[in-house]
Amino acid sequence: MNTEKRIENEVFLKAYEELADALFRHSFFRVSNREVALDMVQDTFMKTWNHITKGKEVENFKAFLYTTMNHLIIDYYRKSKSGSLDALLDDGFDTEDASVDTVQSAEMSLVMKSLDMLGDGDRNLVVKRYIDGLGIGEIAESLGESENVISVRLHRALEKLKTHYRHE
Amino acid sequence: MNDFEQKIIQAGKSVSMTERERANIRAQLISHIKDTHSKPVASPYVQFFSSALYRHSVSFAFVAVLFFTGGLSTLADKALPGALLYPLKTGINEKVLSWFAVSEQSKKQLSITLAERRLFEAETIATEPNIPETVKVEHVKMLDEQLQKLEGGNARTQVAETEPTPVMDSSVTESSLMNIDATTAITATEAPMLMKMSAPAQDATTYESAAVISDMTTPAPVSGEEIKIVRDRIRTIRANLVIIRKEPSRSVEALDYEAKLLRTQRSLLSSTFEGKTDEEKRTILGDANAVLSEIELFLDESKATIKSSSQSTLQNDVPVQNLEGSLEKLEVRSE
Repeated sequence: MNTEKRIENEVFLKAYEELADALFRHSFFRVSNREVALDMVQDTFMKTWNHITKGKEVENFKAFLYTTMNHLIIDYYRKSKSGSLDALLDDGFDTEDASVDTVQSAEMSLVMKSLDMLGDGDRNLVVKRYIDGLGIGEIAESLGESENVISVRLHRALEKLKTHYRHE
Repeated sequence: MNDFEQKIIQAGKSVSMTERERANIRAQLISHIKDTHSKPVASPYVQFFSSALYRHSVSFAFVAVLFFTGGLSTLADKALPGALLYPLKTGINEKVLSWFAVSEQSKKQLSITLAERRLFEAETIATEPNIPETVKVEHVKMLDEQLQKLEGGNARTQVAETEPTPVMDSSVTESSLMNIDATTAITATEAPMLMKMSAPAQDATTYESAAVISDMTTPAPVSGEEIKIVRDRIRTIRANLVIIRKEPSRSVEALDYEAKLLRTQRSLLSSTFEGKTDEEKRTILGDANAVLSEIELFLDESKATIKSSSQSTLQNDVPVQNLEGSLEKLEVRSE
């Protein structure tokens, strides 16, 4: 492996270390399944690597990763349209997960369930805003919508979520 | 931010990959990287050929080569025997020309052109010291071969002989005299003997007169001036033949005469002519002049015919005008 390739590898793996967790988080809250979420992360990075080795330029590495993952998530939804809630109940939250506080896990599952009630579009907004920590402006730009539209949609999504949460 | 929103945020923060999960995926990635590295890599020239500036460099190079070889072919056309490009001239350029000669007439024309070329080359290299003898000799062979090709299908292969011609210059006069001698069947050698037989008493005078006669008929050395006159005549005739050749009714005959002219020129080729005896030279010159006179006769006839036909055909103005212009040229000795 020549020097250039080695440098390429190092940079790539470093990016993985820095961004993998956040990506996982995003993916997890969208698909509500840990295993699936982990697969998503892996696939996202692999696809990005393939893209680079074909000689294609990547302007914004982070943005590219998120875009790629978004495509994968959408594909995932198309494949498993029905019974996402059932899937949640079956595969659900791994209580063996060391990083998750057992006290919070009940609350967590509630949030997850409520989140699941939303359509993917709304869910995406919520995840972007509260899980990824993006501002309204950033979300608006990434989706190609006006800030106003995003703001309204987000508010409505949150209301829906609250309703589901309270009724759980 | 209200409580609810905070709940969501907290939920988010609580989720992350375990170290095991992280390592697992990393390992998978490294393995994948290794796999992709062993696969065929994009050509390092991709960037060169995809850049707007150099993309068409290959096609430019190709065109440049075409232009260059085109130039080479043109240069080759001027090449002389012994030159580097000469084989290109004869082997390729002339071969290509032969591809375009489809009709009988154009084939003939091409043969004549090639023969002219060989002649020109021969004349040029004859006096050239740098060219080895072997090359010159070989080249003359080529010339003769080409001339032989002209023979095929040509009825008039023999040089016209004994007809005394109306054209009078010094060299012609002498050869005419010789011809007259031949026709009367009294040769120079026979005359003194006859005279001897008829007047046996006057031996001394007979021999004297015989000697005088034989002196008169012994060929004088050929002067450079004579040769120059013949060559000039050839040049004029050739120019006129080319013009007449364009006239459809005359073109076939004109081509035949061109071939004849070439053979005459061949006979006068310096390299072979100079080495001959005076007697031989005289003969050659005589024959040459006879041929030239014959051709000049043909040219005069053609000229007259064209003029008369141009006067009668009033409908076709354009072609007549062209010929009129050319007829002017016939009067002038051209180079």
